[in-house]
Order: sequence, then C-alpha cells, then structure tokens
Amino acid sequence: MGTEQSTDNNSQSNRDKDQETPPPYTSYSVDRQQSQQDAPKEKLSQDPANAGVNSKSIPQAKLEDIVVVRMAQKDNVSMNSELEKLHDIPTFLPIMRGALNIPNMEDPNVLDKIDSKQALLLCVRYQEHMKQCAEAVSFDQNALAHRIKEVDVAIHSIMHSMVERQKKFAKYAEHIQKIEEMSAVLKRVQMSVDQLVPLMDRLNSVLPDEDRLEPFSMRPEKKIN
Amino acid sequence: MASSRMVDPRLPPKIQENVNDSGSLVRQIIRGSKSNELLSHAAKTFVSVDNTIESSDATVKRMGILVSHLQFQAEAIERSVGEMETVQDQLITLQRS
Repeated sequence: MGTEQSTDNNSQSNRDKDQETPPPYTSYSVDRQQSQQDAPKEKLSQDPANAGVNSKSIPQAKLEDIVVVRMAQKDNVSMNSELEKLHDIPTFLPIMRGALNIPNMEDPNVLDKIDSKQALLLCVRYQEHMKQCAEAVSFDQNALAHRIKEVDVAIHSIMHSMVERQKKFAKYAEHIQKIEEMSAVLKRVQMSVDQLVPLMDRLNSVLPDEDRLEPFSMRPEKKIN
Repeated sequence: MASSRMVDPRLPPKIQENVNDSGSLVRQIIRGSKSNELLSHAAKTFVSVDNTIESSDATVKRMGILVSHLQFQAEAIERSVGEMETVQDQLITLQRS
C-alpha cells in the first residue's frame, strides 16, 4: 500500500517535475529518507493533496514518542543457594541428541542410536574402574590396619620393659635412700661422741690410775681373746 | 529389593521397561565390581582396629606417667650418690677421733 502510494507520489512528482517541484518524499512512507524529509516537510504542510495519502500509511513511532513510566527492574538476588547452583550448570545436550524435541532438529541425528557394543564396553570399563578403585582403597586400608597392629605390639613390648625398669629403679632408689638415713644417724653419732668424749676424759682423769681406760677412740679395736 | 521395582502406573509400559532395564544395568555395574563388599570389609577391619588404637593410646599415656616416675627416682638416686661422699667424710672424721 505504502509503495503504491509512493509510486503514485513519484508519478505525481514526475508530472510535477515538469512543473519544477522536487519529489515530495513523505515522512510517513515505509522507506524513510531522513535527508529529504526535512526539506519537503515544509512543503507537506503546505501540500494538502499528499496529506490524505499519508494517513493511509502506518505511522511509525520514533524513539522520542515512547514515554517511560517506570524503568524495568533487574533480577532480584536469588535467595536460594540451590537455585544459584542450578543456574550455574551449563546447558548441555544428551548423548542421543535425537531424544530432545528441539524445533530446529538436525536431520542426521534422527537416526542417531548408540552402538550397543560400545555401550557395553563403556559399562565394562566403568565396572573395572570401580573395582580397581575399591581394591586400592581396601589395600591401603588393610596395610594401615596391619601397621596399627604392629605399632600396638611394639608399644606393649616397650611398656613391658619400661615397667620392669621402673620396678628395679624403685628398688634401687629405696635402697639408696638409706644413705640419707645413714648420714642422719652418723650426724647424731658424731654429735653425741663430741659431747661424750670430753666427759669420758674427765671421768677418766678423775678415776685412780688403776681403773683408767685407754683414751677413747672410734677405731675398731682388735679383740684379743 | 522387591519394593525397589517401583512401577508407576502412569508411565507407558515400554518406557517402564527401559527404565527398569537401565536400573538393572546400573545395578549390575555396581555389583559386578565388588566395590560395595570390598569397601564394607575395609570399614569393618578399620572398626576392629579401633580397639587396638585405643589400647595403644592408653598404654602410651601410662608410659608417660612411668617416665615421670623414673625421672623422679633418677633424681633421688643422683642426690643420694652425692650424699655418699659426705657420709664417707663423716665416717672418716668419726674414726679418726
């Protein structure tokens, strides 16, 4: 419709050319020509013949005509951590792409089937992998248990020897403590001897010569029988 | 095991079969690799060893106490050995007088 009217305008313009007026490109025509719109705008207001033609073409809104009542809101921070994780998962396709119902399906995938032998190999390999992992874990576990038992045996043997040594030490220590007793006893003996010896000497000197004893000494006497 | 075959009456039968088949396939994979048994066995050995670990721990603690005893006694013996010198001197002085 618009193009027909533009050709009408052109035919009119061709006729007008004879009358020496520039082609009145309407601002409402489908193919806008901005540079030539400004010039004939003034002529449009003066040219009522084209105004009736203009009203039939669709008026296209310009950007300035849109009035924004309220700005679009951004996404609220998703409260759920699980929702965030779901969003973080990248988009992926299943193994058999023909299983999806996508509007633009690729044709060769319609006949897409998984080879059963390969699938079997995959499963067997996975089974083998799990077996090896489990075996490794159990091997390590058994080695650990063995070591722990060995360590326990060693600890007990060391404990045994230590207990024996501790008993011996207790005996020796008790034995040697006697030295302290001895030293205390000796001190007392020394003190008493120091006190007694002058007294004995005095007594001896008081006694008549016959009953005098030999001068007192701590040396062990040899008893002559 | 019987209840594991959950039959959803709303599912069409062929899809049900497929689902059951994939379930039995996965079960075969898991049981074929005897991972379950091996791992449970490992866990059991570990549990049995736990007792040993506890006894070792108690023993080591007792050993620590013993060490402190021994140290105390060693100090006492050392002191007394030093005292022996003084005692010998005392004896000598006594005998001399």
